[in-house]
Amino acid sequence: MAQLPQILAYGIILGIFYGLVTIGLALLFGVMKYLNIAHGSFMMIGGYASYWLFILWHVDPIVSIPLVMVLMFLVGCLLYKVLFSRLSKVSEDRRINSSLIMAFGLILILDNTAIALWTTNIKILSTSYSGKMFELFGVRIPLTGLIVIGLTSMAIAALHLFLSRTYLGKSIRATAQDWEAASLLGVNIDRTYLICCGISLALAGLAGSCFALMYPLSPDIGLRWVLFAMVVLVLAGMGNIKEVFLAGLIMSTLEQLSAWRLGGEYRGIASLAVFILILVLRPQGLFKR
Amino acid sequence: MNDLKRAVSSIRITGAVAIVVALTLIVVPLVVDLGNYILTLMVSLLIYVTLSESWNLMGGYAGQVNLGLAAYFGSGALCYMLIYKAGAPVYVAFVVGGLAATVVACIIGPPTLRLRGAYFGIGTMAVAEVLRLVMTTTFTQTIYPPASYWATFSLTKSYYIALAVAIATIVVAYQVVHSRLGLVLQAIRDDEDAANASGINPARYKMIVFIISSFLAGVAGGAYGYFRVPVNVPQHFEMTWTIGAIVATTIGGWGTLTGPVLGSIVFVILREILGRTVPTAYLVVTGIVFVLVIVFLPDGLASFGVVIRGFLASLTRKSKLSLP
Repeated sequence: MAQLPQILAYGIILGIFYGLVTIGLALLFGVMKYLNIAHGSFMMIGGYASYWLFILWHVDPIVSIPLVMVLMFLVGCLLYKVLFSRLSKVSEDRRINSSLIMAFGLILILDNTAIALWTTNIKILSTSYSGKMFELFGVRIPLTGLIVIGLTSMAIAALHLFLSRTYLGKSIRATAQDWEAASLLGVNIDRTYLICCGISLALAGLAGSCFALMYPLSPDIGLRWVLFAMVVLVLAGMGNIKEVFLAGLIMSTLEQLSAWRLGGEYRGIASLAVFILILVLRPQGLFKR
Repeated sequence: MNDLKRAVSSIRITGAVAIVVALTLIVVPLVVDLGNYILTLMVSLLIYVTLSESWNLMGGYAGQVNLGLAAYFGSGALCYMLIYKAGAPVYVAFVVGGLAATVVACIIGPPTLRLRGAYFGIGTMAVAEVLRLVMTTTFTQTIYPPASYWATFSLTKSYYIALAVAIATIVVAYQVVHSRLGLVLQAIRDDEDAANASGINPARYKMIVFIISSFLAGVAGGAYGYFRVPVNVPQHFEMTWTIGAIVATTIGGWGTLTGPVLGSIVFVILREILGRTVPTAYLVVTGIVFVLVIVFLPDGLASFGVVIRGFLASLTRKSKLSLP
């Protein structure tokens, strides 16, 4: 039992990170009803961007985060202009399936481009502080984990302020509630969607940089992580930001506990099995009444 | 009336073409020795035809995007192999493989099919991933078939099994689509509320077609397990099978019977040509082709004729209008 606090500490770091990966997906899903299953692949691209900035020009991944986010924001705008804008006139029921299929094509392109360019070998971004540990009440906490928690909190605070305080943010929320009514009231839906897509991918870029700080990179991480992000999204009941993080923490704690009790190879199995069980018992999500 | 006549005649033409193609596929390997390369390619093509037809029943006709087709394919292949190894006749083993896939479908179907939208996709994907992880930890070694298999195996036999499965799948899909069930499914796809208001229970019909679709995918898994030995179990549960079926169906056209066939042909030929010329980037090119088809031909290759006809009609109409 002495290991339990340690396990929980890792669980919290992982859970916060799950939340970060899910937020970008949830934004696109909540506002536009697009299920971008390529979100994880974009995260992978962001991770490689921060890896290569570090290897080629020795830019610290924390310093390069704004650059990666701006790049991914532009990629998001391009993605909307070229592909996703074609769905903005489609009824909401059909948007999910159509965007899902488009994103499948993106997964094929992104993942295999990454394999062709950078091979399937794992890449490890090792900075001077990579292996550093903190000791707090006998619990060892990795420094990179703390950095990720700090960055995530900043990003979420910024996103919250943007959505609640600015005109653009309010127009995004209005569009999420009812895009037809919002457009009648003079909101430029097309621009709102464009910004939304950009922000979603910028968050994927941030998640990618955080991923590169904590875990080894490989081209196949996209599908696995997007599956967990979608699971967290369903558990949160497609709800608000707070519930996304709570659901992320539940998933990660389950994962850590099962890895501890049953062995490392069962970590994904146990948490996904619990997810399927929850889907059977509480299909409306954990927090909906 | 004219439209009806044209529709009936087009069905007749398609049916006649289908029968001619089927007869050619049955007779030609008996008369001509096609060689191992062509036969292997054909088996792979027929497996994809089966998989994408079964996916299309769910995705194209009922509007439920199944992201876990690999789970049903893999369960079929695994159970076929285990039963066959235990001494059952090979045809019984195929059916048992299909039933195993149906059991998996019965677990995830009821909770997810009641819900709208993305739940079904995410639920099926989660089940597929759980099964893949379980298989990766359980079956670390490949399974070898019994000695009697080698005595009777020939590539031609494997080809005929795959062909029989593919033809049976298309016949089943045709029967489903041209029955009350098919109409109900299309009604649900187009407007679930309206279908519900007309006294249809959407969850029930979605479940029926889900069972049919996963049974067919399971039998396809068995046919593949017969063709490709020894069986490396986790490989049959890989997401690539789902992606292949979705890509083939989308290139061909959702909600059409010819679409998955055309799409599979394009997919397998693309894979063969690009796999030889640009082996590192062939999936990238496939992805680009896929996205281009979605953008420029949203209804797939099966709609090509309609698009061309519409284009020609618009040309003639314009020229008529320009007359004084």
